Amino acid sequence: MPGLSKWNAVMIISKNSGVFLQEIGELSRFAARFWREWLRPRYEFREFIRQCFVIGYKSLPLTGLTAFIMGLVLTMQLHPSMIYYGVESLIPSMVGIAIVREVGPVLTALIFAGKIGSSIGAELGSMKVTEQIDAMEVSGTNPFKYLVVTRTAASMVMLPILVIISDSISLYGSYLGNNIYERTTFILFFRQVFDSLVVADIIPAVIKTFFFGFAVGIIGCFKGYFTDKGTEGVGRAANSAVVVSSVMIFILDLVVVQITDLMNLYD
Amino acid sequence: MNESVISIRGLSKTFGTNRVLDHFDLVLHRGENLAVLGKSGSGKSVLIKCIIGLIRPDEGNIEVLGQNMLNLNREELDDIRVKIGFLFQSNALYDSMTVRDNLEFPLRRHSFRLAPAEVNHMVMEALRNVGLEHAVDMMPAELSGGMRKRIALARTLILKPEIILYDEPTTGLDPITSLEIINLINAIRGKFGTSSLIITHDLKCVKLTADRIAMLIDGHCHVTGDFEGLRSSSDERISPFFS
Amino acid sequence: MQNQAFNTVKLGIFVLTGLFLLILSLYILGKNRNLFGVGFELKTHFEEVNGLVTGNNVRYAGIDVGSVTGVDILNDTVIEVAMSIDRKMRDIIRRNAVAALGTDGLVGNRVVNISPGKGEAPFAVSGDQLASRKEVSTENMLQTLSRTNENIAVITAELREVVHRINTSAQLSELLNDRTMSADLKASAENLRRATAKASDLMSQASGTLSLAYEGEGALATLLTDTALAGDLRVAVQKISEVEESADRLVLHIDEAAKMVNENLQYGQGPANALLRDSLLTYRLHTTLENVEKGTAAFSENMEALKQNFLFRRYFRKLEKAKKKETESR
Ligand SMILES: Nc1ncnc2c1ncn2[C@@H]1O[C@H](COP(=O)(O)OP(=O)(O)OP(=O)(O)O)[C@@H](O)[C@H]1O
Ligand SMILES: [Mg+2]
Repeated sequence: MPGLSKWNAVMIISKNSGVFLQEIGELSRFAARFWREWLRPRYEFREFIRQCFVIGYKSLPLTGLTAFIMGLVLTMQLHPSMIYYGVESLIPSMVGIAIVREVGPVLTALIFAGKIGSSIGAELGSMKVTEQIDAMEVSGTNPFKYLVVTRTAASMVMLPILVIISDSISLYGSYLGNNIYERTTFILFFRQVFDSLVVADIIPAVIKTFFFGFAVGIIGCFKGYFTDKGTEGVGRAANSAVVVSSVMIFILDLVVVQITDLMNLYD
Repeated sequence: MNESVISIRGLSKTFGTNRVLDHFDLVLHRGENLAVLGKSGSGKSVLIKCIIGLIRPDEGNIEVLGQNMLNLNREELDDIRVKIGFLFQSNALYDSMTVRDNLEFPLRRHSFRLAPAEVNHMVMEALRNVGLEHAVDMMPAELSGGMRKRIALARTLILKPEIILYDEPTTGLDPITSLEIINLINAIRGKFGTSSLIITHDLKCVKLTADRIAMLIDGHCHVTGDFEGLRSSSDERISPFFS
Repeated sequence: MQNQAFNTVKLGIFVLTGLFLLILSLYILGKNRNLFGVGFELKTHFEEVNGLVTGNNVRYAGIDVGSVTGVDILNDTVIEVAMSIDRKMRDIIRRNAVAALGTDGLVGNRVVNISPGKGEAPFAVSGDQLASRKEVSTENMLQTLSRTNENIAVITAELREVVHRINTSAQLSELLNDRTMSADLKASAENLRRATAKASDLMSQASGTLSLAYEGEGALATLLTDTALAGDLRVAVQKISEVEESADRLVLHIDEAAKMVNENLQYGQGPANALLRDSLLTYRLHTTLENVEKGTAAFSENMEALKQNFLFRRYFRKLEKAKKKETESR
């Protein structure tokens, strides 16, 4: 019996990893299809703009709020230890670097994944199970272009903008947090923030948010587009869209850090 | 009446170990209403999804309006799909869009050539055909089942297709509403001269709409004939449908 | 449709805000790095640049005026630093300006400081090479401190000598018998002794500081590179040298006085008591003693100044604490 259960475990693991690898393969094919199709006419420009509004503008209150709180809390948490080392004047620089390089992009992308990834997954999932995607297909519209390309492109373009605005809000929150302890003028605070930053901090941070946005969009669409097993599948699509894209954000972040490290951009 | 608009030869489709279609043959002639009868789960929906190209068959040949559906590229497929109307069993209305947007959606391919007034005219005419002009600004969720079916039909009609594929147009509707739909199907044929493939297991619908009936049993076309001929058949696999 | 247009406007505002913020921040950073401003180029040569890299700031009288655009090794001892300077500085920086390396704050980036040279010179133009000044480095600082230490040792030795002479001089001890003089002299001698003790104290303190600094990367090592502090230290060293000089003078005076007393005793017309009543001599002796007093006072003052000096303050405080502890434990 022990031997058998061991064998069973091996079977289950190999089967699951097979499913996992298959999923990765399918996701890659799906992503490749995006790049193949997005430049070819016809362009779903109206839908793209609509999605930009829904995906970008409508997410601003949420990401803005979290960014503001993050900036405020980060500063308040840093303050005691910076006082301890007598370098509280370095808070703007530290918070600036932390927010612009890492906290802003990743936090915003995670919030974005939670909000947009799930909504795309659920929307496309329910369209799939109620045959709306098939209906588009038979009415001569390429649903991949109409649904997947527009949403993925919109989240790819909107996330960087969200991140830039959220970064600014975050820094403002940090400024207010700093003002709890000591009076700093707005100008001085932002001078100090910008003195510690270089162009090479901003550009890679913005570029990586393009990838984050792409990951959230394409994974949400992928999960929704291949939903099966009815309404239950819709919930699962939304859920796994969030989980997979969140993990993907961290993986991409790691990769981007490695690359920028190799390129020695911060020198 | 003998020109064929759809001809299917040796169509087979297997899902896993479930052989749904097994060398299915069928011909739809121009201007006729052909009903496909079969019990639930016999593969009727799979059959018409193969015709429109939503499901790719394992084997066989499908010709629609003289073109082999399985050898077409994306653009050619879209071109021919415009000529085929498809009424989904589940209606498949876009529930994030108003009725108007639902109806405009199939027009999008041509919308850059159409003036807004013209688009509006086409939408209202399609709604008039199904008697639901007042619902133009409603959302699908606000409609009853019968209204949804009619809106779906209006959406199918808006491009004035040569062929319409009906997937169980009357299932789940009360007898009065289903009679309305049946009358609509007949009216459409009278008005536009379309050829129709009507998939159903509703006897009344078959009786009132079909010129010819094909029986889908065990994945292939068991027999074709007219209503009276099949009803008087002594075949034990056919008679249960007509009892 | 109305709704759609309204959404588009909001979306447009959203996108433009994002782009505006991005461009603004890039502009600010670019301005910081002089990426966008067209400047003119100046060069200077250093022996070593201590980690200066392309992009570091260039300052004129403490104001950011440009950035380093290149650091190239010309040969084994010459490193050429190219700087892009804001165009506005064309009518300000003269050809005789001097470039020096510095640090932005205590632990900040390296910067190049340009300061105006002495005298008249034409304005610098693109491609000019400025003279450079060697950096006041930690190494140099520590060397100065060493020298100070040595100086203090010499002073202490000499002061001790003076005290010794005062103590052992027969003539002076006789003088000390004089009632009017003795109190003054005693006090002076006491002062001198105290000064000597203080000087040797200072020496050991300086040695302590030095060894602390040598011990490595501590805060002191970094502090020493700070130019403002370097100035303070230079003043301290100067003051100590002054003490040395005044002590020298003291010794001379006392020597002279002793000699005179001696001569008067040997070849004079009367006993010391009589001589001492001699108004001139008494006067001279008095002034000498006054000088000694002044000298010791000045020395004490210098010691106080040293104590107040940023570098040593902590050390002195520690010392005081230790003393307090000792007295408390007793
Ligand atoms: N995408 C699919 N994957 C796997 N199996 C499928 C798929 N689509 C259909 N099937 C199977 O094919 C068979 C026929 O399904 P189909 O939907 O064609 O039935 P139907 O004849 O339309 O039934 P009903 O009258 O209830 O609509 C069913 O057993 C179903 O399980
Ligand atoms: Mg069906």
